[in-house]
Amino acid sequence: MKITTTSQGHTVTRLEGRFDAHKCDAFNEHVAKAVPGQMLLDLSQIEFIDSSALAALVALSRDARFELMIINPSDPVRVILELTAIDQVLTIVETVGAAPDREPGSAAQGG
Amino acid sequence: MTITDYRRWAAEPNTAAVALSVVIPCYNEEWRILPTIGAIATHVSSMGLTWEMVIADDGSTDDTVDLVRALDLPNLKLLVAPVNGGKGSAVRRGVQAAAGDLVLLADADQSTPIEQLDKLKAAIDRGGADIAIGSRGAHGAMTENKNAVRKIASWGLNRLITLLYPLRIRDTQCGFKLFSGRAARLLFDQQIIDGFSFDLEVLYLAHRHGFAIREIPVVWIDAPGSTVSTTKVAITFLRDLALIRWNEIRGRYGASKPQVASVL
Repeated sequence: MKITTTSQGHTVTRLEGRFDAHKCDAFNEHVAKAVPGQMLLDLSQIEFIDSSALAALVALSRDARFELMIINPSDPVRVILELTAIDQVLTIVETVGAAPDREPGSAAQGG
Repeated sequence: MTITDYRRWAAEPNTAAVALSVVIPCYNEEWRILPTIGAIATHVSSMGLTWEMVIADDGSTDDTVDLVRALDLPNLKLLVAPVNGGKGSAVRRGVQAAAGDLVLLADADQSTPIEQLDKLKAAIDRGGADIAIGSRGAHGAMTENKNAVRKIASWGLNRLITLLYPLRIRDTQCGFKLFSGRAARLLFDQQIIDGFSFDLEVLYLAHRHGFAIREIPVVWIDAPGSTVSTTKVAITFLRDLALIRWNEIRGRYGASKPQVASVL
């Protein structure tokens, strides 16, 4: 799985390939190094996501340091999120532009 | 559009004849089954054919059955076994319940990504093949994360099969196999072994009946959480190699049919 980060207005982390249990360590290492605040995860290029990866996303969504938003999940990911009902606990937006502006290092209040 | 095709499949019962059945045997797969169903349903729904999924549970003691039942998908058949009878028994039940002109066997862990189906289907659609099997041993195959012990065990068992049986197949055990409906129903009506050696038995029977088998290189990813120990696999497999021979000698597979095609 490839992990790239771009910063143009919003900082977006894009994951590409298969996000499964073998890739969770690399993902968690990336999160550990990330600046707390808004985390936009672009999953449009993820071919498959397994339960370990879903658990990693749910754990991240509950991490008070971050405001996690999933950007434009691919069709397989979208369906898997629905079948597992995890779409009910994650914030999913279709475009980066739909994400609210935040100051770097800050997250949404409450939650 | 893929997501639209999936939503239609998930909401509306099939009214046309089923072109493809995807049979997934599973045992205690609560952790893996939903992502697998999602991945398969998304891809196959976009293929433009009438299809169904058959989940053949093999006596799971976890929440596998409840999770699948709760999806309430109109084109998903859920078969529940009272006890764990072995993968072969689950696949047999699944195939016997399948209505498709083509029958795909796929594992619950998505170790062979469902997109590989396209290659297998193309091999049968082109003609000349009744069965297209995913192969980790064929030229062009890719495997990821397979540990060294399993690699050595697989190589050893495959060599033994080649020596003992007239099957020029490099990988009999990959769980990703596509059958014509006719071949699937005939073979699984005859197939006896309940354990995971049923793969070899089915291919042996297919060769015996003269079905044309194509071996197609696939991507295979060793999914974590395998329920099988390598040592147990090897021992059981060796036992079943002998069992297939013994079944043949005792006439349990019926009279031999003349060979009309060769294994490709």
